[in-house]
Amino acid sequence: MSYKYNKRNLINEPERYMYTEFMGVDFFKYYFESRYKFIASLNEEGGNIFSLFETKKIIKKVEKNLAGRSLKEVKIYKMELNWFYERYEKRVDEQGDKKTNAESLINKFSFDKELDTEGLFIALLSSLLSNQNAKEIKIWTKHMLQRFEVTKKFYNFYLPGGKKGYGATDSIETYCYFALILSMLYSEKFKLQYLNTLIKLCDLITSIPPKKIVNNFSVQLVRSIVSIELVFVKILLDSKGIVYDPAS
Amino acid sequence: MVTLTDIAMIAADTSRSRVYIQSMILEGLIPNFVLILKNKNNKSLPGQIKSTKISTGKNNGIDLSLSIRRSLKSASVNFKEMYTNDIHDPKVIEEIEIRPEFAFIYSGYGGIILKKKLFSTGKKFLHIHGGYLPNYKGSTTNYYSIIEENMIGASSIFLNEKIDSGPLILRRKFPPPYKRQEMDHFYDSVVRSNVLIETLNEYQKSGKFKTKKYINEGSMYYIIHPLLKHISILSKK
Repeated sequence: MSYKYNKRNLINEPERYMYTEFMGVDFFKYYFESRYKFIASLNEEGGNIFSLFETKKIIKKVEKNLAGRSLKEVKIYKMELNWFYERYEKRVDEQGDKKTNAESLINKFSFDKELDTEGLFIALLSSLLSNQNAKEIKIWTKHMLQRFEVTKKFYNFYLPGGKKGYGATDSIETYCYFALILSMLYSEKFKLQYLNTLIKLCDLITSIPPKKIVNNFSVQLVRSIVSIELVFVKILLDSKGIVYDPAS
Repeated sequence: MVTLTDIAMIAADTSRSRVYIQSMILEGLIPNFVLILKNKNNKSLPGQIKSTKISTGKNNGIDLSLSIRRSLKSASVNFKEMYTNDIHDPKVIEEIEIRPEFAFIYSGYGGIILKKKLFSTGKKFLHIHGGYLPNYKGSTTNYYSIIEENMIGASSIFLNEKIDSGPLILRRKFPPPYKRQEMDHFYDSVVRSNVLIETLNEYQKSGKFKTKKYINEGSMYYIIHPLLKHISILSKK
């Protein structure tokens, strides 16, 4: 038996998750095994940015923090967030938006205009990191979460109205950015809707053959997203008194 | 047996429809007519249970192995079978339009959002949502409410074009079932049927459906990931 929700490339063949089978407590073991295996394979394929040893160290740290059964997991989360922040800033610089602030970034987007998905997600991340634009975050996140749940993919662009997408659907970074947005919102509000879609996004991300996640930015981003997802899942399992067998 | 002469039903060949119909018959409260939408494909549709997974024997007086047709015949309920799984099939819409009943209990196949052309028939569609509205709108919400509040719910509403946002008639909370892994095909349907029966009983007594304020708030939930579903089933707190 194994975890079956990321066996095929979910961008090409979406998973609908209807009437999924109950597999007992072993399901969690299969899930963790699958995620750890993916992280390991990602490092092998991804240009040795993080060695397997370092990856294990991070996972161990997550485990250690969880063992404390306190809010220590927030530390891990912040660590990941700081890491992202550094790279995110670099990205904005690259795009020539050095002087723009979160407000002007998000104000570029409107349902009356065509929508650049990655740009929108970067603007939302910027708003989240600077604790600004709560209303816009709510509106856009709700809309894009619905778009993902309906089609199980993100298009690079959406026509005015924000419903009909066009362009490529295989930008790993776009999926990762939204996963990161959801992880931030989940850590703030603990709304299960955010975690639910985050896990589906991670299924999609981990369904992509590691060979395709080639650039260093994606490798690190993907690794971080999956680590954060694992933290959240373990916290929830623990809070519900479920004894599971984590993959070693 | 009391026949609700101005109420009909649309029933897909699903476990939920079986539970609804058997519950109504057990209660002695039956619709005037049932339109059965038969799956024309060999492949199971959302809400259909594979025959190999149906446990024999009765549970709460309900026998999931009993076909809709057999149940209806045993209670002498008028019915018609149509070989389509599409509620928006023009022939289905025509059939609904010509019926004298003003309201239909809706128990179609899962994953369908009713379109304008169905509402333009002028009929009302009574739907029992598996979840406590407006807090839990959307799909598989009872798994979520177990995790969040250790309860499941059901709510009767009249459908409109927005998801789970039509006028609310009745809502109830229930404790989580003992065998949570049987929620999809059994307990979810049982709690919905409890609310259906209560709604119909109130209608029979008062002669009208008392709707409450239009549901314009609440949270939307999308189909639950199997990981959260397992947490919901196995949670101990």
